[in-house]
Amino acid sequence: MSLHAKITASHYILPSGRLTNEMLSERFPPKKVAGISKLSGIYERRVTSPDVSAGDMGYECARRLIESKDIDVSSFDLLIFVSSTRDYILPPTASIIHEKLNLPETCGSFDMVLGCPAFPYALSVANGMIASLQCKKILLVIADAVTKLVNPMDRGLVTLHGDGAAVFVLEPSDSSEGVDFIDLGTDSKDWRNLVVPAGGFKTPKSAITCQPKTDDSGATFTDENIQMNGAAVFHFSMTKIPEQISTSLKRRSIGIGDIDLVLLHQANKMMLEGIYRQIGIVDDSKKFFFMEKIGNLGAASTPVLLAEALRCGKISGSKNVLLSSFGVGLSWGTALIHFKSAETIASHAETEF
Amino acid sequence: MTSKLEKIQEIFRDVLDDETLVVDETFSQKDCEDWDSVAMVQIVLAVESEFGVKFTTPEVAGIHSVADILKKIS
Repeated sequence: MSLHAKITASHYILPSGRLTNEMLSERFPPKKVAGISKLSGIYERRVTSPDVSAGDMGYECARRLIESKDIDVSSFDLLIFVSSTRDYILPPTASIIHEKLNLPETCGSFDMVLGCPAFPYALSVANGMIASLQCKKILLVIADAVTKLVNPMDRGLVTLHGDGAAVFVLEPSDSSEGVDFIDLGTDSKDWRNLVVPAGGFKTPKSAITCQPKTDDSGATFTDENIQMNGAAVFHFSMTKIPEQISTSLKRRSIGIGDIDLVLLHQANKMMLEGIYRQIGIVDDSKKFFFMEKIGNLGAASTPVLLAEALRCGKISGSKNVLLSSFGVGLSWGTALIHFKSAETIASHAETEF
Repeated sequence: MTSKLEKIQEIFRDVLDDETLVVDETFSQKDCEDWDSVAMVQIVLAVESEFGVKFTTPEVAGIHSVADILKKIS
């Protein structure tokens, strides 16, 4: 069997700040807040304070994992930091985390700037680095502070999003354990449905881009905030993702019955139930939700979901886990991972930050 | 026989929780602050189910009024 990556350690953290429906009901009509929660399955969000960045969460999560698992930092030969809310334009946030963790000079580092679909993309890069013998031990840090991009008066988005971080250690495997396949895709003609128009170099922040405006649906935002056509992105997720998952499995003659657990980007519970139904998952034990009290964590959403599934024992022993992440781009990725002795992977360090 | 517009009106009344709501072709998001992105999702799913049609993602992105929906099901 060819060499590929397996996950040997995991952890996640969530900021201690909480944004409850009661708090949001002081900002928006309570009936509206309740209606959105009923659809999304999200009733509380974990939110960073203004002085805490995605890099801060990523570092702290990695530090706790390394300490609790007594990992020798000199053994890492690559650090990948993944986020849509990196700390600076330059340097890469990976460099800052590299310094704080005292990683050796022989350990390379770089950022991947991705949102909700990030995890399969990052796994794919890490898997390729291991399969090509460039790396033997990779620290994959995924952290996102999406709430910093959401306008506090955009009731369609502020009700959904939270912040968080997850970290995984990836090492080589020459057995069936680890990454089986990863499929990636992008429907680029629909990228305009999910954008932050200003703040990059095409349209720098200015006195104009920070002006609030309200769209036909009543959402208030500036060009420096996330702007999403929620219905279009919802529709994309409900149609493209089941089709893509089914195609990935069929291409490899894998039946849905061969999968023990399906982990989906925690965007919206109603949407996820629709995707589960369409791919033939009727057994609730093969589903897993972790958005009710934390929200949609952007790039960190599926990673935190996987880390929690490992931590709480939802994944233990030998399990075939399919995960799919999707969103901005509009992109998606689906990965199948075989776990063995999965109960040894998760750190049981503190998750509150 | 119930017209397409009457069926759409039923969907809007159900989703927007307003039994007195009257909609015509010109009814748009600007006329109703409750017709937000969450309601749009529910309306699209209900229209697909009622009329046996499938919207594409760009078509969903382009819905702003009842006329946009009627265009798809006519």
